Amino acid sequence: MRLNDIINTALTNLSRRKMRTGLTILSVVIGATLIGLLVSIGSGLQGFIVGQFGQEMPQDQITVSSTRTTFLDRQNNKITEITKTESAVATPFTPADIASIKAIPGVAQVDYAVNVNARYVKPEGSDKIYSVDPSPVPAYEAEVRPLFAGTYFTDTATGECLIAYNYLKAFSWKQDTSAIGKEITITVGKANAYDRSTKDYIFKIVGIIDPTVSNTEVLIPINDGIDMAQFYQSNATVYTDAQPGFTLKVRTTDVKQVDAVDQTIKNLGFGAITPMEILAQINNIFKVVKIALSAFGIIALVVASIGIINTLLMAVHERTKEIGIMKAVGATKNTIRWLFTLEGGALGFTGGVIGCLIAFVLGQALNFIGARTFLSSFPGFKLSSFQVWLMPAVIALTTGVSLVAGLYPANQAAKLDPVESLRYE
Amino acid sequence: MIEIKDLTKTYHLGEEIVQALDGITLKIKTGEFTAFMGPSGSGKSTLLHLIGGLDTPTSGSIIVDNQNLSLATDKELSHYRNTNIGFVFQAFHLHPIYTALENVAIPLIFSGIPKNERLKRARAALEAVDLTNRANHHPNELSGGERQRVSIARALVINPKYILADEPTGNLDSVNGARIMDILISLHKNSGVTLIVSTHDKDIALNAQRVISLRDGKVTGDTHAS
Repeated sequence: MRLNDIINTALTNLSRRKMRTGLTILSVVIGATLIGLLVSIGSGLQGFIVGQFGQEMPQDQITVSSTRTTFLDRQNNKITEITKTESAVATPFTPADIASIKAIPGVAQVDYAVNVNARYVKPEGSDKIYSVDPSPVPAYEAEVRPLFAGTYFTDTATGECLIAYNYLKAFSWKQDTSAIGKEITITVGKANAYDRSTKDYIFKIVGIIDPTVSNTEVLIPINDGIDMAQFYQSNATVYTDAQPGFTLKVRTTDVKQVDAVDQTIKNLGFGAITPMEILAQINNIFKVVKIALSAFGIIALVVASIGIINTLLMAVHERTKEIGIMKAVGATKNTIRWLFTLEGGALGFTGGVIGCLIAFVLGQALNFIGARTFLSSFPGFKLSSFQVWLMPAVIALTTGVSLVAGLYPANQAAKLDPVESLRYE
Repeated sequence: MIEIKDLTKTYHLGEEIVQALDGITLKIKTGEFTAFMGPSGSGKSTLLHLIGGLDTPTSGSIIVDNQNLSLATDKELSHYRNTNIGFVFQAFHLHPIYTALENVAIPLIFSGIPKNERLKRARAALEAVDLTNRANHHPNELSGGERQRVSIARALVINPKYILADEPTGNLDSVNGARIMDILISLHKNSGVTLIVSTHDKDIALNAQRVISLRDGKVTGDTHAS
């Protein structure tokens, strides 16, 4: 029997019981829609976070930690004997460490990972103050952000900043280029809460970060950040060669050098993590998230496959005499098995296609509604990202599950005795 | 040539064992018109099913044109039925959703013949039973006689070596029954096909060249027409 005849016969048979076939397909559609929609939402979230990551961390930057920190096990109220005094103390980088890292071939630049605590920010021409979390970054790190307007600062600059687009709204400024050149004042306090003194740092806005970067950051040059950190900690040597801290940002001469430099740093006994490693961790997390999300759809698909088995068993029961006729005129057991298996497959395929289309439309509707309501503050964030591979994957899954579901009824049909089948009333 | 030797067939009906055929031995020559004659339950339908490869014997052998059906696989038996055997059933056994033409073409689907060729050959078979004008009618739109003619056309469409007709007039009135027999006899005469008809009607058996009488699964008589 030719394949097209098997397919045609299977489809003709399915079309004979339109309501039953329709309801069975509907159960597959529900499963396929759930899988398609939830996985597309998982992909949307992943795409957003990965995209944000790409706009915040340069690909040629390695984050290096001193790692000579021993975190003692104090869990479960256990008292642990400390065998070495060094292991009870967190050891930061030394000037020699930094020199050894700078000496690694392929290292272009080493910066301190400066941590700044600011109290608030006050925009020019206003008495209002707002929360702020300034990030001191090297110029090349700032340059990863796309700009809505203006330019980037340089590594030698001081008193310049890039602000997130969201600040324009918060400051009630026009959301256009007019903010460029305006000043903001960031006030820093003291780490010691008994010391009430503060210091104002004035920054000229040289660039506005594009709204597609969904955060509320204010990027400042590293030198200003160091100054602020020294005031905050009342310590003029913090983030200098004398006290480099626990974390460094290492830039390589080329993206291709990242892995080699990363390995060399690790060989020196430091901790290092590259953007690709972070990305891999993010992607791994999302793999699990997507599997967990699609589990709902897979449960629905399992229920649907029980429906398919039931539908096909009914069909075998109703068409027992026809099976006898087919066998009498030359159909083999395999042909009968194929016919019923393909009927199952056709149910799954049709349900998969319809389910994918519904999932796609629902996803687009979610994106449309989301962009105008609950996601309006995250421009560029598409909640549902229906990737090209998703449709064939879901259709293949529903078809595969349905083919498997069709095997049992198909075997029952194939095993029917032709003489008994012809006598069947 | 059909060679049957020590053929037995037993069925289980619940706990009861039914001996449908009990040591049948006979030969049927190619081109012969044979009637299996006997009352209901004599085993004539079972014997036809076994010759047609639709059932397998409990013991003994059936050799058709040197092919031992007792040893054949499902695939071989299916191919044998598809290429050698044309069944005509008492209850017609037509597919209700297909037209007369499509019903006649069904065996050719399993031969792997393309649709156009199938329909062409099905039309020719319908013409042979004088039913071209009913080609596009469904079985429920046809009379009993017409349905049986469709059934004969379906048997004919593969150009079978053997036509096995199981009580072909059993569900028909005498006029239609006679017409069906005329068609079968004419087919036998014109094409040289081996025709085996099971019947309990002596008048029908009288048309055959040879009458094999069966009772309780055994051959009780074997007469050749003079």
